[in-house]
Amino acid sequence: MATREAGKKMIMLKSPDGMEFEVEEAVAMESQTIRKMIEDDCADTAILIPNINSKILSRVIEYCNKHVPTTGATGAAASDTVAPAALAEDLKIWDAEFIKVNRATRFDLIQAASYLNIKGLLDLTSQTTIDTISDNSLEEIRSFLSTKNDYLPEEEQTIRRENQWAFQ
Amino acid sequence: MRLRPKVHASEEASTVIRSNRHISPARLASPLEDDNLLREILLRLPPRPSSLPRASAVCKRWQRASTDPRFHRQFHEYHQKPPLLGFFEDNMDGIMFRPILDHPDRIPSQCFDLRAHVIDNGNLSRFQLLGCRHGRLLIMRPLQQDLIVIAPITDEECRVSIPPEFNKRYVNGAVLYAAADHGHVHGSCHLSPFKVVLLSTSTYYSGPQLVLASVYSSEAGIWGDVISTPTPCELRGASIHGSLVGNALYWLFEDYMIEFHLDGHILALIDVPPTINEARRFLTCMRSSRSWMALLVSPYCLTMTITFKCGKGRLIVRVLPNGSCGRPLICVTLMGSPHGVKGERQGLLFRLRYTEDSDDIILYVGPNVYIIQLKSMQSKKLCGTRHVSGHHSFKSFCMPGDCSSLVLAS
Repeated sequence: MATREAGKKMIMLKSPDGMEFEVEEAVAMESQTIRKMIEDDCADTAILIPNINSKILSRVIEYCNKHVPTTGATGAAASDTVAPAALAEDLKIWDAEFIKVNRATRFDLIQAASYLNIKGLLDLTSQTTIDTISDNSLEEIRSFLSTKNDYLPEEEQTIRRENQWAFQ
Repeated sequence: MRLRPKVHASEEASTVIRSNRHISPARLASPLEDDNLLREILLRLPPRPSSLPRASAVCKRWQRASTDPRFHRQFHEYHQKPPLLGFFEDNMDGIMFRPILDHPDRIPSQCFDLRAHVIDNGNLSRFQLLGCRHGRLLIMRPLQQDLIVIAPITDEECRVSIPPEFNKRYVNGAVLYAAADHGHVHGSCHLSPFKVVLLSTSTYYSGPQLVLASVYSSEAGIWGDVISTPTPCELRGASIHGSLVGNALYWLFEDYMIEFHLDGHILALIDVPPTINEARRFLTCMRSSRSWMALLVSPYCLTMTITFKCGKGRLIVRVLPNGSCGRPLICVTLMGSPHGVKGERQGLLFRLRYTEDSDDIILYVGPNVYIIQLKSMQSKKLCGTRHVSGHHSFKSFCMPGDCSSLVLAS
């Protein structure tokens, strides 16, 4: 059941491997999926989050905790609050440290961010993935992302020929 | 926050989260195996011309994602501002595309070959490039008294006769996406209906009398009424480009600006304070934001001057308000001195042109074209040119022979 602690409403998030995380409701509501459940009054007990193990869930909560608006406001208006420049810069530095994880963890975070609908985290994880590959050759991209080239050689040639300038 | 991990699963009933976003029945080894997540990631590719063609060559899944028209729309919405690919230059050899990006984003001139449209030789009396906006070029053929609107990405063209009221007159014009005034996200403008605004201040034989304006709508296929207002000033030829600011087009010249409101088709002459005269040679266009519009007509920067100071292989350009006093509005170092520039001079051959929808200034110094990003104050030499005023910047997310035309052998 949602509890109150130091005047703040708390909520319990549970991972499928049996871990429980008690977080402030405002932190949990960084996830639009959870926000909707709470607003629809469907979250009167602990919330079980399938598909996201405790290791990843704890990282997600860490992200949300850092990014929850610090103004006194609550609800929809709070997330719209524009952070002052210094705070934004601090968050940027923190994000850069946060995302220094291996590829498997980053991929798990992308899936979690999408599943829980946390836009900032999805932006951060997806953009980092793109940044790691954007100046690389096709072979390097495939290798970094473990993506198999399923083109026949002549198909790939056709694609390269079509926009030859893009491969120079 | 307090984390309270428990080793054993709780016995109490839990609400199971319901998410309708990208639910994976079984956990995937990689988000790249989920089409929705793959698109989410590919959206963040830089909006450079080579991004999507290269992504499409990684594997078939990436090809399907990066060539889907729905994905293209999302890509345009995500990035908002299409990249500046280069310029169309109206010169003695014809109307040519001049790429400005480096490899692999450098689209060769031949990709935008206008010869198929009979825009191919240097007889300047045969055609004039009047404008370029929202993925389309507006070309006039004075002898035929017609206009050719070309979308270089798709090579589609539309020929429109000029209304008889504009016969034997100097003509300026602008082309734009038909709904550019309604929060439009640029992307595939070249596929959408367009408008042409024609403007003329004088005949070939007499001085200025009336500004005429008329609007062609590609949807209706007809010209609207020709409207007019008396004018003491004269636009000759197409060297002064119209600028789209908000929902109005502006042509700046002499002591006036001509303003044409796209809503209601209202034509007006705006007095420009006399002090702008010193600057007007250099300020051929205005930037698209209203704040810059205000800046331009505010006394503060009307006497803007630019000084050049050459160092070793460098050119320092300082744009100063009110003569040479005050803090420079712009102070940039351009690499490479233009030929023949020595010492410190004022008012060298140069022009400024603000690019619409971005914070860039195109600066012509000597034989070179530079771009200055106002936000970063970074400058970059784009290309050399002999034609100071004949450049029309071309921005687009889409490429000629876009990979959307690729069909995989199945």
